[in-house]
Amino acid sequence: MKQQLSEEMFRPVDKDVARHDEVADAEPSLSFWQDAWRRLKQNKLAMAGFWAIILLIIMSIVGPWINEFTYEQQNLVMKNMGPSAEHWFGTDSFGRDLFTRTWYGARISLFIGITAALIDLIIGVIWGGIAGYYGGKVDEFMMRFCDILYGLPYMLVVVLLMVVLGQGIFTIIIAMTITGWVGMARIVRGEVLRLKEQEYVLASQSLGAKTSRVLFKHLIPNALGPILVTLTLTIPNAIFTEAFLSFLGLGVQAPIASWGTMTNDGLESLRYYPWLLFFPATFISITMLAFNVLGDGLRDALDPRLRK
Amino acid sequence: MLRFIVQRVIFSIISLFIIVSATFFLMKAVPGNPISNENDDIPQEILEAMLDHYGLNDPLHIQYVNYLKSVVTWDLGPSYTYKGTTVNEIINSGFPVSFILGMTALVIGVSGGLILGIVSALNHNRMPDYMAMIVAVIGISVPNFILAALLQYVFAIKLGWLPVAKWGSPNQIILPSLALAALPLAFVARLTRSSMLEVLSENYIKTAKSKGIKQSVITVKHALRNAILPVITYIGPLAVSILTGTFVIEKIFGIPGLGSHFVMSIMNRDYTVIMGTAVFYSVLLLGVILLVDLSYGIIDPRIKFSNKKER
Repeated sequence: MKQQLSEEMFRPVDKDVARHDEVADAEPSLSFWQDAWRRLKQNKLAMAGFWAIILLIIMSIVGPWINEFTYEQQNLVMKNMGPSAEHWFGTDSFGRDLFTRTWYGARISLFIGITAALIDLIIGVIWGGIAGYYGGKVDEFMMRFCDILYGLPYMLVVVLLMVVLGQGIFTIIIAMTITGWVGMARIVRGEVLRLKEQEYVLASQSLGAKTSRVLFKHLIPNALGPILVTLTLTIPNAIFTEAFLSFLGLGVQAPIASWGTMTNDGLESLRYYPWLLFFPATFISITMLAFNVLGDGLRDALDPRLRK
Repeated sequence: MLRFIVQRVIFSIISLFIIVSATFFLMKAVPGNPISNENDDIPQEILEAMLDHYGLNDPLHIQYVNYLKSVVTWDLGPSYTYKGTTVNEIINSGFPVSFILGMTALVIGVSGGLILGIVSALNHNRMPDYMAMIVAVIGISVPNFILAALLQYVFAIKLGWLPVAKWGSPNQIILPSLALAALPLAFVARLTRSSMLEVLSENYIKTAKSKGIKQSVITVKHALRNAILPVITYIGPLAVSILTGTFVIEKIFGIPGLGSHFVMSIMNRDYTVIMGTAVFYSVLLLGVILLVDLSYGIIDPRIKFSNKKER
């Protein structure tokens, strides 16, 4: 059989077309993060946590403006009212609207939790990254320092610092982060120690990359999984610590409300006006639950060793 | 082994020294002095005399050395708020109460957590497993002071089964110790579950099964003995969490323990009591952690003590 040869058949094929032919049937390749996201999406509990957090953040932004009351506006005629059409969550002992205060408290609690966790992250990544990367004497010294801080009872240190620093949102964040970053530093150091032996790091170094480049371009991005998990699990701890301090009367000062101060106020009148405790307590618990299940889900999704 | 012990003891002493020093300088950094902070209208001569009496007019380094001496001899000085009471007396009266409460919580937390963890590992990916893990995640997420308030509301105020607060009779221990035990229970349950799952897939478990040994014997004698090690490692942090938990739990239930004394001293800015209690807590915790570290070798002979830490 004679075939008709045309000039067209001898032209080089376009590069992309050729590759497309080869793997036409295969699924598109996924990056590490796409893969992790796909696995996270299968975890219903973690996704519920994820959406709960998104919702809580949105409500903490818009919640205080939904009705006409402000968080410090007192109305002594309307004090200790149960939930009603006008005051959806009721009012407290000064007649302040509990709905507005709950979301205003969410704003304070989430702000403190997330900011403290981010500061821990920054210090921890730098400290742990440097210690792990340089190793030897530097590592020995930096990690001994961490060990000593890690050995101190965290809550005791925070309470003592609050006594000295005085009440306030920023003093809480300072008190929590002074020793709080150590956990993150230890995680990052462990990861960097493991990763720096990999060939791509050697390749990068032999091509003359600077330390900072190797650290921030190669090592930290690859350690991002455990870092992200630790961050997600640090946030509920920070929220708890803030609530704990406010509950002891060492946290934010009136008229600013946080979930911790609201719980403390609510406890005093628990017998007669249980809703004063119910709303802030429920939302602290939901928030911590959401971050905890999301963190657990992220750990399962990101850690290839747990893959089945 | 001996070298390891010596190293660990020295390390604990250094940590303790840092805590004592940090507490001292932190408390000195607070503006004013304990006496004029309490009474605004005190005459100058009396103030001076009192400052002299308590040694607060001495230069800072002398006060510091004196404080170190007083810690070593365990004579923590007088309380500024409660006249005629020493810090030692406050610790001696408060600690036994907190100790009973804390130990009850520890026993509930560890035994409950172990049972929950074993049940869920034996029923891996079945209903009891999910139930147990939901209980565990709730235990981790609900702050202990909220749980305490909830227990108080339901079991004491609404149902009236148990006393609302105070201390003395055995049924007054139940609610506060449950509230304290929830977080340790949840952590122990998760730890036990994961280490049991790991151990249950080992070959020697299969061997034991093929020899026809009963499941209950395998679980307790073969699996649990090996799975319990991570739980023992966790006793240190567990003690820390129970101890800090007593601050709020004792406040909620009106229990006259060391935790509520500590919180009261913070409210009153009673600096000697704050310092003394903080130092006492640190000695206690570092002691527990040291004991736990040293007991590994006895519990698990596979662990070799070495100076290089693997991580």
